[in-house]
Amino acid sequence: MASEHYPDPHHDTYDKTLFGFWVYLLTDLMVFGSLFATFAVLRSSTMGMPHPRELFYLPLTLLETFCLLITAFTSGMANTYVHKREKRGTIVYYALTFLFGLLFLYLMQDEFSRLFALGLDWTKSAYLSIFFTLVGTLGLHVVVALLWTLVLLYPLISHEITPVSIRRLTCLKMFWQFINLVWVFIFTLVYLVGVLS
Amino acid sequence: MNELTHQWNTDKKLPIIAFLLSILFTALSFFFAYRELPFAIPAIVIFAFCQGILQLTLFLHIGIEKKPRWNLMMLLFTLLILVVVVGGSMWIMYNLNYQMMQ
Repeated sequence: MASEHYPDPHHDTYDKTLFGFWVYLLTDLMVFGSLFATFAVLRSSTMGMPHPRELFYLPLTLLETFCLLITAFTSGMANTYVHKREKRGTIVYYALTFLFGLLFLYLMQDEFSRLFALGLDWTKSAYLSIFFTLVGTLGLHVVVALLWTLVLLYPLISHEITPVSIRRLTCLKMFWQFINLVWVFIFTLVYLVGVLS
Repeated sequence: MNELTHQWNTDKKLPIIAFLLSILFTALSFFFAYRELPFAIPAIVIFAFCQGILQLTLFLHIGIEKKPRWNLMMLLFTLLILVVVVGGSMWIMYNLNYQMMQ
């Protein structure tokens, strides 16, 4: 292929953009890493208040996990349609991604309101502070992913999939799956290990 | 423009396999936690890492590119830094905590 010998702006942009986005995701991983480190240090500092192990409702966490897992799956499936330039599959699967992302946010909001109603907000103890920061930051990522999904789906109403949109939609897929990757560690270390210790 | 698309980007099997395997590991983790089986905590952490690697390769396609494997290298470097920063912080804080109690 000629592209092996000469620089080709079209191809290079795609690879460079995806690589750059991957590097950004890794810096995001660093952010979560420091939040996890803080969590590890503060996980016993409950100031005499009920430890969330007594308050976590595991079926709810399981449901949240499935919602995010489904978004990772549907965005992965959508990506296969994107690279084949099939608009309908892309829109259907990204709409599903949006729906399940929204469902996850609703479930998270439900859980947080329950804790707030018990008087347990992030000002009450070090543990609660880092808990809401860590899980809340992930929730913020989901909000951003939802907005980004809407923004990228909008042009598809009246235009076809172009190389530019392939690049962007692939980045969006990476973002949704990155959220999922971090959630795996959150539900394991915060919820499950919290309940067991 | 077909060179833009790697073979794994259009393979519908990969997301499906990744999804099913992730469900398996998630169900295992929750099962271990719910029933409070012995050695649950190490088992759950191992399941989490397995699922993490699974999602990296099958969803994000990180380890399976051909050389030069820039994506994989960046990931390994980031993990190295994370181990140093997170592990180091935990070590230091644990030490400080111990000394405060003396």
